[in-house]
Amino acid sequence: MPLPMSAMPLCLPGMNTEILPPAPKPIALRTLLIISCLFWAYVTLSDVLYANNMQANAMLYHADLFAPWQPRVLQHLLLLPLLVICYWASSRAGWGMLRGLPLQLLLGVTFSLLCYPAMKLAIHFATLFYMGRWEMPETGDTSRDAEQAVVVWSASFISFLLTYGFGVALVSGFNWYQRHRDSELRGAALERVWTTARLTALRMQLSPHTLFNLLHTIRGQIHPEPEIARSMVVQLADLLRQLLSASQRDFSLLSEELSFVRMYLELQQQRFGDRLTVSLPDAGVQPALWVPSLILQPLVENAVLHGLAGHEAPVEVRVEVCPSADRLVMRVVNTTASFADSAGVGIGLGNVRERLAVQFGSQATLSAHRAEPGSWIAEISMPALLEHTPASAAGATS
Amino acid sequence: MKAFIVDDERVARRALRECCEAEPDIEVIGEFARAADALEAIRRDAPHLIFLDIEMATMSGMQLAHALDPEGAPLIVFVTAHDHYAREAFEVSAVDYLLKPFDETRFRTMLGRVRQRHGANTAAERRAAVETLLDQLQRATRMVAETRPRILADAGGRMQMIDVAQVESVEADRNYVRLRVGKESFHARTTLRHAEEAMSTQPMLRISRSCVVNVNHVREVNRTPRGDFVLVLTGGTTVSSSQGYREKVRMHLEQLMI
Repeated sequence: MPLPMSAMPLCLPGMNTEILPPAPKPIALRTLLIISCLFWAYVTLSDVLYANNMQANAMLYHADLFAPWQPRVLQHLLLLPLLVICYWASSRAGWGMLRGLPLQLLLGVTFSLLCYPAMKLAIHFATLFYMGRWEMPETGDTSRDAEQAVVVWSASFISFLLTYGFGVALVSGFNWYQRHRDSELRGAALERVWTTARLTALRMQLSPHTLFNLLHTIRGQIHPEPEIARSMVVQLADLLRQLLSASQRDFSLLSEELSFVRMYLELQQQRFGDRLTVSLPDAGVQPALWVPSLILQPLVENAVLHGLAGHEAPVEVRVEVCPSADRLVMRVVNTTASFADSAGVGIGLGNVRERLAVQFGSQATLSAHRAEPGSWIAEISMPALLEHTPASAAGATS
Repeated sequence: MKAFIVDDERVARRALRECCEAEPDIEVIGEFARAADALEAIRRDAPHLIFLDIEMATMSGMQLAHALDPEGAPLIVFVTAHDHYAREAFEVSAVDYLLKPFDETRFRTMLGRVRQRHGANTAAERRAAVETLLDQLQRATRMVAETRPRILADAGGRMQMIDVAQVESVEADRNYVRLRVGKESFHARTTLRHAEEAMSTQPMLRISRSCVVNVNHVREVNRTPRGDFVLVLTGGTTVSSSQGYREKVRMHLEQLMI
């Protein structure tokens, strides 16, 4: 159907993934490398310094303590790749009770167990490259030596397990922070995309029934009163043109909004003849305030339908606009059949309320209620939106 | 007044002819479906007035109007379904602009202005005609300004509307976008993408993943030794292009210089 309506943005804009941050991912290998290397450099330094400290203390008692720095640094260097692999596996394993936790424990224990052999290897290499000569003090007794080795091994195991655990906490903490931040950003971005999509959907307000009813009225006028039919076609074209232009924008001037409502009501008046009287403020004298495009139209449409329903008496639809310093109150009042209930206060009101909430949060309200017997009021109260002008800004600051 | 009707739709030509026939001082001496034929005939027959459709298949009415010799050109009334040509129409010194569909009332109002212009022989009459034209042009310009999108923004807790033509740059800023207007900046609760859409009437240039610049407001372009562009905006803010957008910025700026 080649109606101008078809050109309107009825479809929702696709969720565009471009602006969304990527879904939360486990820590990147590069980040993991940086964190582990820095952490391990710190551990190496503190281990060497601690050993030196112990050596200095031991010298007071003329005891020779085993604490050279070269093999220690070498040991830590040998352990670094292992550490990175363990941390990488740990960051992927997660902390699930069933699989994660045992795996984490296994990784930690394996790493810590390998620290003592790494030391032995480091001493071996250091000796090989003539960096010095160190031997584990040996007694010659195999069983005592083995006992001694177990004691040293377990001491090394415990101290490295603690160190390893600290590093795991660091990596997982960072990982969690990153995930949390990503998911927060993603949530916010999703919310915004959704909001804009919803706004586009809500802007299209003129009900198709109204359009078809108007077309039918025009059709009926063609034969008896072609002049009126022609002018109605022109009015309808104006209405659609303004609807089209307003539906492509989020905001319109109050005067435009009122002139749109006037066009709409004049057409409806042609439909209902003498039964419908309307009263509107003069669009020409309104202050330059901005309102969400087509925000009044559903209220007016509602007032016409609601007002005319269920009785034969004349109906008055009145639009009032009360701008104050920082608020704008717009009211649509219609007379109703005195027995009419509030049922069928259409879907239009829900849309208006939702649009106001999306744009202004709690700063705008829509209330619809019976004012006195036989009259119904729908009232929008929203912030008075002035256009920002550099001059007004200068005035505000001075 | 001798008049031409140029429109590629037969029914549209008939509607205009019927309207003209009701007027005693208008005589339609030619109807054309193609602008090129009309151009020839205008040079030959020198009508006083042409009704010109803008959107036609081969040559548009606007092109035809541009092709006419400004000296001794007929009075032009554009007849079109699109309201966004209004300003352009007055730039080619059209007398009026008639939106389709129109009725007798609008046709007569338009004709009133045409007559005022055609019959302007005394100085006072000419001044009045020019004033009418100026008034129309101003209205068209104001309409363009008023229908330009506005963005709802927050300046220190106070909501304001920002005209997209004043916005110098739009930057993504966590859950908001930041709009720069002169020395001020505003937060708008929208996405960069949506803001860019709202800014579509402005020549926008994306200089990084999170920043779009209104080219109308670029005052100065500098380059860093690394090759990044540093743009100085009207309000004095500097923004720089990111590596990924460097090439696009360069191409865009080169196009502007040609």
